[in-house]
Amino acid sequence: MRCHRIERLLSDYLDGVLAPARRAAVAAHLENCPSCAASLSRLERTCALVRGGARVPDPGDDYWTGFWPRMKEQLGRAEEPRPSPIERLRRLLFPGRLAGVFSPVPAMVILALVCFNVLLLTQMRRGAPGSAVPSGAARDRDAAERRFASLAARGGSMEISRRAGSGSGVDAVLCDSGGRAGIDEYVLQPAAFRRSARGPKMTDYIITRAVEPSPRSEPRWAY
Amino acid sequence: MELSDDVLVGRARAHDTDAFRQLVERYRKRVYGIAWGMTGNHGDSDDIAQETFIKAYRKLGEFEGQSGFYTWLYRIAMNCSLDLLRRRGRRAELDLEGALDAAERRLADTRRGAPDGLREAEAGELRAAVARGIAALPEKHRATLVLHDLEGMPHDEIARVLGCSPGTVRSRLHYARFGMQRKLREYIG
Repeated sequence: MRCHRIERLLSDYLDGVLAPARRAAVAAHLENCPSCAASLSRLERTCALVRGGARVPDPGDDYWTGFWPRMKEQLGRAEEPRPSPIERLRRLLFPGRLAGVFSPVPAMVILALVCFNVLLLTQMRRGAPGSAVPSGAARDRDAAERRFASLAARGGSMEISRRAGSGSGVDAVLCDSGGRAGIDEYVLQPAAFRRSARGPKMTDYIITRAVEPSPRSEPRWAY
Repeated sequence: MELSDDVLVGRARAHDTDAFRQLVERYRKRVYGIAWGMTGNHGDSDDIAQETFIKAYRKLGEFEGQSGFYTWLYRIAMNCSLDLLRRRGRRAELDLEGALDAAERRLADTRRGAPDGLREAEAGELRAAVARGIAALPEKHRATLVLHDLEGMPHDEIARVLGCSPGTVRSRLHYARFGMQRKLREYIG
């Protein structure tokens, strides 16, 4: 065998995993080749240095004493059932020691009061308390509705289009046809929108242009 | 009498925490050793050791017993190590550079002091050089070298841990050793 092939086998030779015939061939070559013998010697020295130099430092008795207790704590957390949404809310609202003081029932009462106040404030800001605004309405929809209410009160109108898939064309023009406050009611009127099986939603449309009132503006629908 | 791994695994599967504790105490140092070989620092080795046993506990139901428990455990430890190294990227190497700088400073300090401390400081310098050489190896070569030359695992066992053939293990070991030889040239002579 040539030297470059021997060198590829030296690591296996060192570990004693070569087949007997090949091992004998390598040994015979090493006896007659000082260069490969030196290469083997360097490899042996490397392995010895790695074994000796890569000694794992002992982190100490304190570390090993605390190893299991720390892990047991983590295992306990891993096994703990996932808290219910109410429990997670309670922990969020009353972190730390307060969590033990507040039971879920008062927490829910407080949460209900907070929600009620937020709702009341929202209605007061809109200036139409008690109007049937669908829950979950998008913020831009609210803004559009307020803007439309303002325009409609002055006899103006708004051009709207689908949010996606219909290009930039105008799909409908909204204007006040008589005292209705919710923008959904206007959107529902044009026939093109009634064809939708799911029913149109305001979040599906964008306002493309607000038409300021003119002295001759008449209530109308176009699409 | 010391219980076998199989018995302890069986009990741990039935949520016997004490049985699992015995397994942890049996293998924690070796798992820590693998992690240290792969990362070269205590903080990461601790994280990996803890994560390894927690994952093992959660996945005990999936352990089929086709390989030994420790082979299965080593595979988890190696995967945790490789995941951490990939997440960290070069940061692990930077940590090692910091450790090396500290070792070199200690060496310089000791050379100025008593000659008895010199040998110890030089050993520290060698340890730092070995750690830097291991850290510079490609991940798979490093894993093979750590399992073989540090943990003393046979080739076929390493193949099971790393999910490759024994031939691949031997090839990686060959490249890893010659890689280390280049890094440690000045110590080899």
